[in-house]
Amino acid sequence: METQTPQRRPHRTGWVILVLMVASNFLAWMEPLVSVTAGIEAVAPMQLRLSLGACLLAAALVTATWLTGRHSSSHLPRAFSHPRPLGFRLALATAAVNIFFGIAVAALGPFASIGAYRFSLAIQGLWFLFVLPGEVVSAYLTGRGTVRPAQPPVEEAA
Amino acid sequence: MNSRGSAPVSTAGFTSVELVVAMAIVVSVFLFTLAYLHTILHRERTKATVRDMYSLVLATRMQAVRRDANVVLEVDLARREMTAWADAPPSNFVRDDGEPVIGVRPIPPFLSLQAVEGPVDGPDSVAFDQYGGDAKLVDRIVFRSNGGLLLPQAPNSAPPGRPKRFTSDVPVTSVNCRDTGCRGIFLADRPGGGPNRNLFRISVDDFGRVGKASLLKWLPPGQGGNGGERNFVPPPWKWVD
Repeated sequence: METQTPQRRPHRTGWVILVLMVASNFLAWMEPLVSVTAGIEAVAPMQLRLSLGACLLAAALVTATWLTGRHSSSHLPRAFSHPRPLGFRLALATAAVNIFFGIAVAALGPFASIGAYRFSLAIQGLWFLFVLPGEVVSAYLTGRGTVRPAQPPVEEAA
Repeated sequence: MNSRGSAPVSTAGFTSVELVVAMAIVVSVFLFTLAYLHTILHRERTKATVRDMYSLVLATRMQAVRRDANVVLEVDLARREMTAWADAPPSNFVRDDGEPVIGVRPIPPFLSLQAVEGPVDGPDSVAFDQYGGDAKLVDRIVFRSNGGLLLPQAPNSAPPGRPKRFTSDVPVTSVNCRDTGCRGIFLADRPGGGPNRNLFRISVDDFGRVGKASLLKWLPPGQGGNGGERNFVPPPWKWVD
């Protein structure tokens, strides 16, 4: 009977990390809409489009790079010799940053309109600079983590 | 031999695992988008309507000055609409034939006219009552030709007081409606009482006598308002979603 070694056991937790990462983007992007604009003025359609667009873009990029990682056959640098745990850590870090952004905006938003508006703009800039690339790299590494190294050909016993 | 190992072996396309993961991401995006859009749309709809009604109050005052005549804004609870008209002399604050209508705004069904405590469409929901000693003249704001407010005389239409203490949640321009009531048009986005609703107050001359209109939102004590008071505060507001 054929037995599976631990290395060969299929991984089933990657999707949770990906969904967490994608979902946490909504905190960073949508909280400014519902918290900062707390007066009688309407939410600008451009702002709504930008926020939703950023969330959708991130979801599409994460999905695409995860699939690319799964189908990739290129050699990773030595620093990425364990891509799966590295991708998970990166995903958790980006999700934590997103949650922090959302909580900060929700806490500051209703009390300081102009300051909170500038703060939300800064968050959006930081998100594009650091969080989105981090999510893309994380998704790729998580995808690569499901690819097992090629096994040497099994020599048939003579 | 496949150099990628055994996990995602699929030469024809995506594996079922990949499709499931992609679907999970799509569903999560859909759910979050729906939840946030529902909140935003509900809030925007309420804001737009309240802002529109506040604008009608401002426009009514402006018309009084421009026409150099009394202009009345009446809230018809039965027909659920606000009507502004120029009151031709001798002013009786009742719309007579031939008096020009300045503006009409329907009150949409998703907004309730309701004071902090009181039933929907109750007597305090539009507290601009009694003019010239006539208790039948209710639910109307009368602007004089100089833009000032003709003061309503009913006890529930008195001006509000100032809060006992000012905080970051209850800033200087806030008001405190007394237990006997204070004048205003009270609009809520939910018909049930209690603090879990967004309740707005459109009023005139909270503290001055120049006909200045105000738009404030109820801040219950549990959400930062002063204990034992009915505070209405200016933006930025805390919303109940």
